[in-house]
Amino acid sequence: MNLDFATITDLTAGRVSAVTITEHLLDRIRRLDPSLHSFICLVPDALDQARRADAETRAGRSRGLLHGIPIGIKDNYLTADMATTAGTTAPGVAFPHTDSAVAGRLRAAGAMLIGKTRTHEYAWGTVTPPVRNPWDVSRIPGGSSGGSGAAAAAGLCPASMGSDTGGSIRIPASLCGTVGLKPTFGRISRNGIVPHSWSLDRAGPLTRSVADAALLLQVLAGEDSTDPSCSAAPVPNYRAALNELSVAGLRVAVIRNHFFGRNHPDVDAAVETAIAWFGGQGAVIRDVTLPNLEYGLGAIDAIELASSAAYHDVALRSGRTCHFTDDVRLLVEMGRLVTGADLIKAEQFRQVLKQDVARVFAEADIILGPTEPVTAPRIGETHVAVADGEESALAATWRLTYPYNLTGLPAITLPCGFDPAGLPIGLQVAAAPFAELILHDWKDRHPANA
Amino acid sequence: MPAVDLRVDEHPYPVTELRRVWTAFQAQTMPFLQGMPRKGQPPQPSPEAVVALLLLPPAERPGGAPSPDLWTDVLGIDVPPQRRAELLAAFSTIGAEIRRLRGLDLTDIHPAVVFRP
Repeated sequence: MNLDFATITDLTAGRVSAVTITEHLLDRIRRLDPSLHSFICLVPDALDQARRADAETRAGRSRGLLHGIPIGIKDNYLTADMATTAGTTAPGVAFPHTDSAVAGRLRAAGAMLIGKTRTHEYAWGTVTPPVRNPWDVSRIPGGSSGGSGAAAAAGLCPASMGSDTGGSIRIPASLCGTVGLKPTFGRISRNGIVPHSWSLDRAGPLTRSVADAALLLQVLAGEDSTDPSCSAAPVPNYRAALNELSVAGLRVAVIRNHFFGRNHPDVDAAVETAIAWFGGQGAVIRDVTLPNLEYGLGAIDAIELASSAAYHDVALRSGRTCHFTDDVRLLVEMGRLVTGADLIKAEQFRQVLKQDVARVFAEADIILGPTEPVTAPRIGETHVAVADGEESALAATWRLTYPYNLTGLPAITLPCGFDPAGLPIGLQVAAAPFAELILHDWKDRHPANA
Repeated sequence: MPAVDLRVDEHPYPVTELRRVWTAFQAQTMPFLQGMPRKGQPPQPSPEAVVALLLLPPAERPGGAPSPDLWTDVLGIDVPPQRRAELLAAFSTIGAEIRRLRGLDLTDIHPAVVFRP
């Protein structure tokens, strides 16, 4: 078995020992990560953990679905054995050395947390310096879970954990060509994740297959009394459902406003091909519009900025935000300019948008569209080319992802093609997890710098 | 000719404001005027009490009313003056989106905020 891009499912089915895969990944990280910078730190006893996992296997014991599988975890999840920085170098910031709920569940299922992947500072941005995109190191990986996207795409770990407030799992997953799953709000506990915006933040995996995303969701989903937003809804058998899904007869909605009209033509072409593929397999495609999406940006701006300013209130009042990087400092300080009335109005608007989306789902099973309007921008590029001219890179990169944070819906991004420069393009699927679309092209292509 | 001519005609509460300004004038300006040179009273240094009063910021002088600073007192953020313009410029596009949201009539919509005691 070629271990470079093996999925969790491959490793489990192939009974690859924990030591074998860990040594292999550590070697790849040593060779490749000096140019990708996806990990901020590695766990010092990775091989010892792998030897213990293998000893348990030899003794006939398995801790769970992820026994002996190395996983990367974003640097805004607290971990007991590795320091957490949330991407900041501001002095006086220290986070507890304790496991977040997700870290705990991963370990309980047998996973080994191999290292912390870099995040844009406080999960506030889509660049994630100094991480590079493995498909082209002159380009950004996206963010804020940029390290997780780069590491999973480059075969430095079979999967990694990210967090998503306005698109921070799906953006790097799309730009780096991995699967990225943002589950329903409340599906996975966020206890022990450094907060960004309490009503928007989500935890989820970046993987190299939908089956692996389902596997990780199976391990991570479920009630947690330590996270007030965590749902007590029963956890279905995602892995079994994966084999039961059929595209024939699937009702597919395509939101033609907001999600189309301003994308790069290469993106539109790949996404339209994917939509046509669904139609060719027997899905019923229906175009819809959601006019109220024109108010979405104001709503999420108000919520995200105000929430971030509230979280960083002590730093704001003491002037310590001057130690943040310029872009993050500006965003955090701007949160103070959002009025209370605007914040509440944004929350009222979310109800309107939820009702609009519910009407779509009354006649559809999934919503399809692009994840990103562009492929990975170059490092330092402040504006990107879109259909009708130029757009701010920051505005463009989250334009198509934030609607599903506002509405709390689950959304997954799947690789669906490449632009002429060989950069990946993502297809975004919202609603019930959809499992069977892994395009053949993706199975045979890997990043140039991995 | 009146010794003092105070006008607050355009203030929303002119009488109240006039009373406040008159009180401040008596407490802050009169001691200073009384120390000025006049016929039969040669120039001399202002009394130490007057100097000390003048050294205080207006809001902290007797009868002074604090004038709230929009950034520190209202918004709760201590931003250096030279940075305020940068912050407002960066917020302008976001502000435009929020103004668009304000245009919606959502009177009958209960927000997605649930308080559970």
